[in-house]
Amino acid sequence: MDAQSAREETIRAYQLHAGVLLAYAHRLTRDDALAQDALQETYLRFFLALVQGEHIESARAWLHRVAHNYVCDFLKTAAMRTAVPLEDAGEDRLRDERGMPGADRAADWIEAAQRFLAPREWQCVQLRAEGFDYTEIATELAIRPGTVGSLLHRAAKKLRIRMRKKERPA
Amino acid sequence: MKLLGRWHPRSWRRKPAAAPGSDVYFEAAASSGLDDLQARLNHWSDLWTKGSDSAMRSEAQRLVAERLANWMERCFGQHALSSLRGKGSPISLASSTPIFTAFLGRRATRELSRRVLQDL
Repeated sequence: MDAQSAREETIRAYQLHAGVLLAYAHRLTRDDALAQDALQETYLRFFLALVQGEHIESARAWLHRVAHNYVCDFLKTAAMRTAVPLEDAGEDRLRDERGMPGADRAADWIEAAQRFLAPREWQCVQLRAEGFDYTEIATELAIRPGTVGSLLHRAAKKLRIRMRKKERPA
Repeated sequence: MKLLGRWHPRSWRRKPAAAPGSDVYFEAAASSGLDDLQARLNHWSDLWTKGSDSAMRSEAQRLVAERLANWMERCFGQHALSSLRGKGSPISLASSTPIFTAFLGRRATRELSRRVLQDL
């Protein structure tokens, strides 16, 4: 695809999906500026993918995946920047890290969910929460629709067990 | 009870205000970023297409060519770079993409292009 067509296609995709994508990025980051950055970056990459001749089956799925990866990479890098070596960490800090973090901190929340869900299960849950059907998730993750069902079932089971443990008195 | 007496056209047509976190709010916030994106894409399109054949090369185009040459040397070595340059035209994003894609793959090439176009 030439640059002119890629640009037009990107603008069209922006007009169609930008609102939903921004809401998604905001849910991940809880930060307006970071969500806007993620949105812009995702569409710039979309343009580059098109101009380099990449065939994109579902623009919506592609954009969500790239936005998700961008936010996760950003948060991981941010976490690494603020990481304290284990020997320097006090007892209080370690106790905080073992407990469930506050829901308002997206980085902690993502980290905590990744602790008990496998990466594939987590991706499926995220995409499902965004309204993707099994076929779209399967296309997105390059797996079969049946596998999507299994992964979601397993994720739901893990979540149920986790919640039951939390409800049980100590 | 007169339900119709409570009905008023103004209240019927009134739409809820866009609250932060609602779909309307995000749609409005996203549309405000469209101009920035359009401006950036116009600039990138120019850099992509006019990199090699334009007589008047801008500072940005010179920067792109320089960065591409660095990446090409890093990935394929000095010999590949000199042989490609020997064909006459300077390196551009459009002309270098096929060779990068062939040897590095699509994703790596996209990332490379993103880094070449960083801050432009």
